[in-house]
Amino acid sequence: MSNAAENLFTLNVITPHLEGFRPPLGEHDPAGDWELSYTLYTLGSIAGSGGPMGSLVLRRKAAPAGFVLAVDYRKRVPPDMTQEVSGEITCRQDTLGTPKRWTYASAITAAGGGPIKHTRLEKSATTTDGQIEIHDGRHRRQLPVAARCTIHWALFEAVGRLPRTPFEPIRFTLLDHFDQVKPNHTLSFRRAADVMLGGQAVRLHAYDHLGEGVVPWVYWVDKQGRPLFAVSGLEAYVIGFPQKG
Amino acid sequence: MKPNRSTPSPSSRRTSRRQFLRTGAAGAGALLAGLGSATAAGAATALAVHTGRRPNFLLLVADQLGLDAISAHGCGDVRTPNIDRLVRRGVTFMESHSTNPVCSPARSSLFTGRMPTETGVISNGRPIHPSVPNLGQRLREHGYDTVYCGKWHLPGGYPHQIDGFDVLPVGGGQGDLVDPAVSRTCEAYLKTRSRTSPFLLAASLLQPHDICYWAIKGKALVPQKLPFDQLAGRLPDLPPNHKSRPPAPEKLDRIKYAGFSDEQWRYYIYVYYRQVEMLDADVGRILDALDDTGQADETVVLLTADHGEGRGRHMHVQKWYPYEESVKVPLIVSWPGQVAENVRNDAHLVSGLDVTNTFCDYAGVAGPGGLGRSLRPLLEQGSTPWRDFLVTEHHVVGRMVRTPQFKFVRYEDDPVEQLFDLEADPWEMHNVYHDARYADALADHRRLLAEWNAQLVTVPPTPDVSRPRRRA
Repeated sequence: MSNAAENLFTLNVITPHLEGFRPPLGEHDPAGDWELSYTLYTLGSIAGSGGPMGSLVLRRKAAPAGFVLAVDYRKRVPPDMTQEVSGEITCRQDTLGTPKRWTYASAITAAGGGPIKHTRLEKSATTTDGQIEIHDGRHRRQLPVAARCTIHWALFEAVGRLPRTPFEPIRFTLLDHFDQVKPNHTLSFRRAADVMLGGQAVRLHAYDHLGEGVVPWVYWVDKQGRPLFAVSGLEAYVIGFPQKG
Repeated sequence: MKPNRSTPSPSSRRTSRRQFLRTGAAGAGALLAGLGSATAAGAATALAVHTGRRPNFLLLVADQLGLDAISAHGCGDVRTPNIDRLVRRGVTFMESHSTNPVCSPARSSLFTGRMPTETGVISNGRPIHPSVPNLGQRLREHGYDTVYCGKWHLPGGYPHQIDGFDVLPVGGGQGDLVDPAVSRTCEAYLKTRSRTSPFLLAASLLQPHDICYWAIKGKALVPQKLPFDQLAGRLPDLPPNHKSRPPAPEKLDRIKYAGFSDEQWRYYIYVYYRQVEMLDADVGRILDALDDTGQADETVVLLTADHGEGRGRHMHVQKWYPYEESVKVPLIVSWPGQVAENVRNDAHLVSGLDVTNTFCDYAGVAGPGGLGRSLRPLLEQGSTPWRDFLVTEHHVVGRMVRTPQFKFVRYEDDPVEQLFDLEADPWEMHNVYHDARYADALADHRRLLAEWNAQLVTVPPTPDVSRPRRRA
């Protein structure tokens, strides 16, 4: 198995931020109930302050004919505010976990306080064949989507269940940030790579996600189907890191 | 289907506003193929005379968006359905220029209507001179709710306080992470605001500026050999002037990005267009909110950018320099029923100087005057006596004079000048400043530069607060 530079792209981008990283231990059933936490890194700072900028917590729970994925995203707004997005996606039991419906709320919150005026937004949506209908309580918007569509956060879940061998690229419409409809996306398996993480060799499987309106995403999944890293250009998610005291 | 072109011909000057609104959209056809009938039908019923109520303003500022990086402007490597929607709804200026293709100076002009040498912001990291009021201050004084969300960079990137504005804080950093928060917050504002006063909402999105880091961190972000098999055959072509390096003033000539293979350049350009599409999605979210809340008919929407992006042209990344890829930016204006729909204006030289003047004109507020102009006559009537040339600033000491046919570039004390005949050489590959056939044109442009300079009301450069102060 070759570990040529192109095979390790995009791990090379986040390597400087992985000092002290220990891969998670224990069993993981990607099709079961689980909770995975990620640290968000922004890698673009010229000043070199590409440290942790936020967090992402995903919770998967089985539901009739599918599962529910809860999303909790937080990003720092210096000096003392937070950008928050919380949502819940009810997914079908299919390859990408196509959403049947979702809700989300977003806001900028002050330190120790509630949402800052004019920043709170709540939306929900339902999908049917070839269409998504988005509501915000007062307004309704219908948009066409491919029959196979998924939300960006749900791809963290989907890659854990995909084969660890090459397959025909999966074509879909991306619902980015829940409500931004971006057509012409593909998800494919690239290859496996043995990588030294925390002093131990770990076999990772790379899945590439390309399409309109996204810089290529690469998901790095361990042998149990746990995405350890997700990197898109300057945006990176590292599982459970840094370790909490 | 031919695009509708607004020209400053004598006959078009005689066209009435009502005729222009009607024929501008319906007479010569839609700008985008396949959309003609719907657009024309919309325009035919959109002739309601403005009742006199002051409009709202939505100012969408992109960062590093080149004029031709939009699908409605002919770029086949990108898909921008939301910016295209704005193009269909209004007038898009194809001879639109940054006043100085760097973030802070250009933004100082957008928000004051003054050239960077008149705002004191001659380079990044400087505040606007306190004697020069910004657009927010001008409109707030006359009863507007003035709200700012996103990147400011005069001097702070994402300050929580800006004179003349209420700031909706979203945090800074990269466009991929901050722009969705900007668009969500702008949507929330549009859906929750009190409607007792008209508003100015400045939504300053960061994309596609993220591409800067692909050059800074090139080796990490642009691998020697791309791993994405699916991109084979799908990467954008290199531009025709990729390796063209016409003679240039020394300060301009030394800017060159080396180290990318052809495939890396093409991947770089591919990524840039994906970032433009990210921007487009956030523009769409804000436009949707305007539509959904029934405020679109009461709102002047203007989309522009601070500067363009090299995309491998002349071996360049990023901006700063006076070539077209750096200095040309979109300037699209819509106001349903008031501004002609689906018009492509190729004839008039406009710049970031004109934004504040236009908004002040529509608000009935005294504008900054100076060298900027209100675009309103062009938007409503298609033509008016207009400037014959404009000037942009570069690298503090560089100036570019742009006339309909030529581009002249001069850097203070540098013996090498540039003169491009843009009609014959749109890719700027042949500097003809030594060609005797162009001696008269060269002399004319030197004279125009002196004429422009004589009209400036300059202020001392404001301090660069982004750099540590030198100890005395």
